[in-house]
Amino acid sequence: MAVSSQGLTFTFGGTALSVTNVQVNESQDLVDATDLGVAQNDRRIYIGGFASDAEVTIEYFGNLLTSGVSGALDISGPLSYAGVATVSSSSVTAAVGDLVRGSASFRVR
Amino acid sequence: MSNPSTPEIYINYRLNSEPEVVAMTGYRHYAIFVPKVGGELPFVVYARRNASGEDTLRDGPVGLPMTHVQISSWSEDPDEARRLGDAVRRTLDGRPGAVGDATIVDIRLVTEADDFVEPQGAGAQLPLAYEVRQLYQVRWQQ
Repeated sequence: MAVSSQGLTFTFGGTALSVTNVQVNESQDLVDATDLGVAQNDRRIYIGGFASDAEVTIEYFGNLLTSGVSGALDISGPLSYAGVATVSSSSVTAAVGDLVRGSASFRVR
Repeated sequence: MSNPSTPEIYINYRLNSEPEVVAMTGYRHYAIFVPKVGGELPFVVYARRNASGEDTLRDGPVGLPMTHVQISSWSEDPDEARRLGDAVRRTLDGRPGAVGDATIVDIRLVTEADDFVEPQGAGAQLPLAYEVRQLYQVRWQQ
C-alpha cells in the first residue's frame, strides 16, 4: 500500500530540521566464497553477516551542519528510523531568487 | 476585512510612491484589468501569471511562496511606454521591502518585451497602444 511522505519528522541532536527529502541506505559487506569447485557457468556464492553500513542522506531548508558532529538521529511518521549518527558530509547553497538549501549525509551506528 | 499580505499591495504602493511613475500615469495603476471609465492611457496594469511554494515533509508550506507578476506599461506613444517601463523597472527591480502586512523578500525582473495593440472592428475608434511588458519574480512572506 502506498503511503504519503508528508508528516515525516526528522530530528538530529534534539533539533528538528525542515527536511524536504530523506533517504536511508543500508548495506552489508559480502564475501565472495566461490571456490574452484564451482560448476561451469554457475553463479558466484556470497556470504553475508559481516560489517554493515547505514547511511542517511537529507535535503533541507537551513544552514550548514558541522561535519563530524554526532548526536541522536530520529525519523518518525510515515518512515521510522533511529540511531546515533555522525555527520559525514554537508553542504549549503544560497542562490539568486531561491531559499537557502542544505544537504547532509550521516553515518548511523 | 483586513488587507491580505500580497505582492500586489506592495507593487501598487511602490508605483504610487514613485514620482517618476506617477508623473506619467497619474496614479492609474490597475490590478488585473483596466476599468472602462477613467482608464485612459498611459497606465500600468499588473497581474499574477503563476504562483508556487516550497514544502517541508513535516510542516507543509514554508511560508515563502513565489509568484510571477506581469506588469504592463501602456501608452499611445511608444517612447513614453518605454520611459514608463524603465521607470517601473527602476522602482521595483531588486527593491524588496515591506508595506503594512506585505513583506517582499525578493523581487527581480525576469523578462521584458515590447508589444502593441491596433484595435480592430468594434474597437477601431481606439488609438494604437504600445506596451512594455515585464515579468517579475516575487517571493513574499506569507
